[in-house]
Amino acid sequence: MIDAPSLTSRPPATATRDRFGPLLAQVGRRRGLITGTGLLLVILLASIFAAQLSPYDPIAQDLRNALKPPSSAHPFGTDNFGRDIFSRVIHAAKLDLQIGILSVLFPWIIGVVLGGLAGYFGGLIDTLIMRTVDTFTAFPFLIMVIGIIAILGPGLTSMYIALTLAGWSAYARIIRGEILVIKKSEYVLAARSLGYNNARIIFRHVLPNVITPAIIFAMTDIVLVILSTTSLSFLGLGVQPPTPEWGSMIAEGRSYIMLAWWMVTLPGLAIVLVGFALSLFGDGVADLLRNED
Amino acid sequence: MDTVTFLRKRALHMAPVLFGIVLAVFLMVRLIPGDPARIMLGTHATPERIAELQTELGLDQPIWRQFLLFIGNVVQGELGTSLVFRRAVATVIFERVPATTFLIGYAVILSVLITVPLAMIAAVKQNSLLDQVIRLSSTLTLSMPSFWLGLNFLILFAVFIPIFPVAGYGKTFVDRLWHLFLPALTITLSLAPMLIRNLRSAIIDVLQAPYVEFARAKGIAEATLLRRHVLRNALISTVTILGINIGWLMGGSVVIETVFTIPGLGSLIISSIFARDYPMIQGIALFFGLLVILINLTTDIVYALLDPRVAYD
Repeated sequence: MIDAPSLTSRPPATATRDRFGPLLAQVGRRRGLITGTGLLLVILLASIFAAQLSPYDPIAQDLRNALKPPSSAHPFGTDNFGRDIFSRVIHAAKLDLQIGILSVLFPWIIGVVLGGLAGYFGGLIDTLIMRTVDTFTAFPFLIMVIGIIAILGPGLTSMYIALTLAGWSAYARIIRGEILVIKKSEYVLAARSLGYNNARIIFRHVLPNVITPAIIFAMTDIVLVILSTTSLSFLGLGVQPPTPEWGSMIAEGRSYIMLAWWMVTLPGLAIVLVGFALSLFGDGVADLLRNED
Repeated sequence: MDTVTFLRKRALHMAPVLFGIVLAVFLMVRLIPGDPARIMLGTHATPERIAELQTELGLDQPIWRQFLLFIGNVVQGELGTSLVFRRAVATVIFERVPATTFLIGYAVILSVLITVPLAMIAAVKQNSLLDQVIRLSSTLTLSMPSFWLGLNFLILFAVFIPIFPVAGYGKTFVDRLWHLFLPALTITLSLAPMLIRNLRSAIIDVLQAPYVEFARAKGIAEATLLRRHVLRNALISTVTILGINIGWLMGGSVVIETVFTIPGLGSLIISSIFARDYPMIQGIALFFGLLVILINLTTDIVYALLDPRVAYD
């Protein structure tokens, strides 16, 4: 009886705090996620407002001002054509981010669909798809990408196709593994015994429960993909000059390595910044999703 | 199941992948948009030379015959003639293998030398400032593109402070260690963070195992405990990770060999692409594919030998 009033006299506010408390505490513990998100937002804004932020035209040549070291007029210096490197770095952000995102999205979609089909239907479809996956994973990732670009010829479209063909198999394998487990669960059997068709079972009951690992993998994959795409452009297989892109800018700077270190070092810092922000963001989101599971 | 049956089963599993690789490499040239012979020879080629190359590549035959011929050639190690070197593709490839192998081997040894002490410190002093510094710098080096890192090493240690050569491969063993130090270090800095992460968490797991508690209760010195009981068990998973990553390392060597102008397979495939030397590209792709299969098989076997608990299936 003595305890009763103390039980009922709980302040009503606690109810809401109970609901949001853990979430806030979780966010508080995730300094990495917050830093990563913040950095990404800054990079995104910079890429959107590139035209306003950059002091010079990214492709305008000024040969009298070629190969000038960093100064207050040109914070990142100028390249062999006298173009302002800082403006070029900012203008490249949009293209580089777009390439990174699409190069994860395309293989993700194809991998999820094919892995889903293999896992859900099994049998011959499974065998065919998974043997294809085995073959695709046999080649080292970058060697395969380079081989496909060799067939199609260097360029942006070739790079998208190559990265999709080389990247989907990892997602297919993940989704298939998850589906094999969930396929036997009671609620899927129940849905099936209710007479739902395959499409409804796949999209409403199976996919939402197996998609998380594929998202987590994509979060770590995107850093590697951005590093790969800039490497490809550096090798001359991706984005072609004079379009401002970080990898191809560094490739151009390579010939002037003895004279103008800033042509190589400073554009690369942009890649490092994006990679670092994405790593922190990806690890953070992956942790959140894992905890939810 | 005994070892022989395990090996036979594993080899059987390999067969379709092997077939897939040969098929993929075969299709490479056939999928080139347009006439492959014309593209390989460029715009100035005479019709006679194009017809000659078509016959040489077997492109004038029905596709299934082309494939059978291709398989027959591959089995005999006959990979065609390079359009640039005008010599057998297989010969050129085997001349380039040592440089790439030396580079990857060098990088793996450097990585292990860095990984073991750092992972042990990070695991034993878990969540300390040192652990956090090691983890943060791992994330940071993982975000660095290796070609950029390599070029910066060149700027620092070959241009500003000229203690290492800008390019090349060297003649004697010691000369090669010196020439390939910066390239190997570049690969190490992208490989080691992965290994450190893995070994750190493996050591933390092992430290909580009952047999470690028991060894500690017996009064074994902490250093002996770490060396004899913890590290040996934790290293197994790192060896596996290393095996899985060999394929990835080969891809990485393509970029690094180009940056440091090393005459290996990686720089060869890039120059072959720009020269449209398709027989060469096919040969290298096939070589890398077969090598990865072989390495995966070896990793499986070594793993099974190291850890008797691994079931043969």
